[in-house]
Amino acid sequence: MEQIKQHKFLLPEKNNKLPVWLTQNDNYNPCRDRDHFIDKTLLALTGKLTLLKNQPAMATDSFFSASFKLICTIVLILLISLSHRLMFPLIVLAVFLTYLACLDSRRISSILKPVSAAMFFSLCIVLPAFISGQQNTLMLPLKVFLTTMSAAFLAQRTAFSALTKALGGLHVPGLFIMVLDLTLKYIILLGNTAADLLIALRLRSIGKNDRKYKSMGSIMGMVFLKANEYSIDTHNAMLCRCFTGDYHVSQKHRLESRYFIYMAIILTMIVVFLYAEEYL
Amino acid sequence: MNTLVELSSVSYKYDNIIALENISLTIKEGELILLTGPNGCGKSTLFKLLNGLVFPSSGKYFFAGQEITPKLLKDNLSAKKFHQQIGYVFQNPDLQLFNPTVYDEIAFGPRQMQFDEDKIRERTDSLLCFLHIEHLRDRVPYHLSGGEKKKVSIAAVLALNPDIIMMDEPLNGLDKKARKWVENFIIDFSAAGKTMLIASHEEEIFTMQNRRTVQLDENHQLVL
Ligand SMILES: Nc1ncnc2c1ncn2[C@@H]1O[C@H](COP(=O)(O)OP(=O)(O)O)[C@@H](O)[C@H]1O
Ligand SMILES: [Mg+2]
Repeated sequence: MEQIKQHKFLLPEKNNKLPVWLTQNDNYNPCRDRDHFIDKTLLALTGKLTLLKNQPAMATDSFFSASFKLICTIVLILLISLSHRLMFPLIVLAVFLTYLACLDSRRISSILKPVSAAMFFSLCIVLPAFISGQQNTLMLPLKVFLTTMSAAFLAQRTAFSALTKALGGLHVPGLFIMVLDLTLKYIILLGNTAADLLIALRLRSIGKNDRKYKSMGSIMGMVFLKANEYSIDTHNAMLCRCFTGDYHVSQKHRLESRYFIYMAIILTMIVVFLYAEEYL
Repeated sequence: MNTLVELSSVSYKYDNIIALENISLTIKEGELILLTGPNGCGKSTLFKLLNGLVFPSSGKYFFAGQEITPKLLKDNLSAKKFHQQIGYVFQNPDLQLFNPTVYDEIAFGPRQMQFDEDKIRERTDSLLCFLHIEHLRDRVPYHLSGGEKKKVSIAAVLALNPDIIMMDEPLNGLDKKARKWVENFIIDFSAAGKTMLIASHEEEIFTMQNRRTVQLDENHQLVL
């Protein structure tokens, strides 16, 4: 019995020598194979990951706090969707375009890409109505354009962590915020795992692999298992730090003079809206 | 000196895989214990058990005189009290760090203990200063380097002000400088009278005078 257990850990002596084929060269000539599939997946994955990773560090030091930007965006989206006349969206459009013109080209493209996709989609939806003579249906794509653009501005100017913290300020339950934070962490951790596995697959795909989709399947499965493992361990880590199910976030606010400026900006927005809609 | 941890003939199985077999161990306050043994001998499992994350398949575990059972930890208050007393530094910091910023990471424990925000800030800032990581305050933990992550996870655990600190393979994956730092941290902390339990398969690294070595063997038993 004792002997058997010992053997589990010590390889038998004669196996310690390198096999002969390992000491010689293989002279291997690879045949052509299309790596496009792996490359494309790899590129897409790592591209998205670097986008997430290169998020600006916490933007709390800037004059406008994340909570303000969040509230401002919500109010603005609300006003845009409530407007019946063309006037208010046009004013917002003018302001946005001016702002956009001040940004550098990389920022502009990263904002305009998703926004124009959303607008194109909504345009397709209303096109039949427009062709059959409903003139004012074009408001919808414009509104979609503006609302997605304001969301894109928010995402551009504020770190994700600052945004979730801002939600805490708006009395969104702490557990919900934690789920959001953890989700981002997992996306990055699992994304890294997946990227590593893909690279490993790429490095070992030196011959012809006809079952690339199967390899992809195994990678997804592996990532899934990892996700399970991570979640159990992270839960343990939380338990060890006195987490018992009720999450306490910091919610402390001091009245600062800049809050009056925030108020003024939001009020101005509302007044402009009321004026443009001819309520005033 | 008071007894902090007492294990009496504890065994643990993962389904059918034996991970710990008939372990009896006592840890007194102020001791520095080095837990060694080859890979897979059950060090990490022992840590999980000591932290109440798994429970003995047979045998009993007492912490500060109280038996740790699933029933006891079901109760929120006793669970919080128990976990506050043990600082567990994971082998893999990626799994231990789950907050959006380093500051929040360190403040997490004190927040769960429902300190007021001023006290939390004081604790967090003094830890950032003590570990020389003030510059990481607003960074995202999972983007840090290995050594930085280790420091942050140590800080996060110290914020609980635990009675005993348990570190699982604290030197794994660290470069020379970070290893030296961790070693010195252990020496300083133990010299300050804190109880520590360090698991490592590199026993020759930890040469502190006052340490006691406890060894697990391949059969998941203690070597006497
Ligand atoms: N989640 C698990 N499920 C099944 N077996 C496990 C699990 N975790 C560890 N083991 C097994 O338990 C034994 C002890 O593992 P572990 O405590 O991680 O050892 P160490 O930390 O000393 O390297 C090993 O044989 C390992 O394969
Ligand atoms: Mg281990």
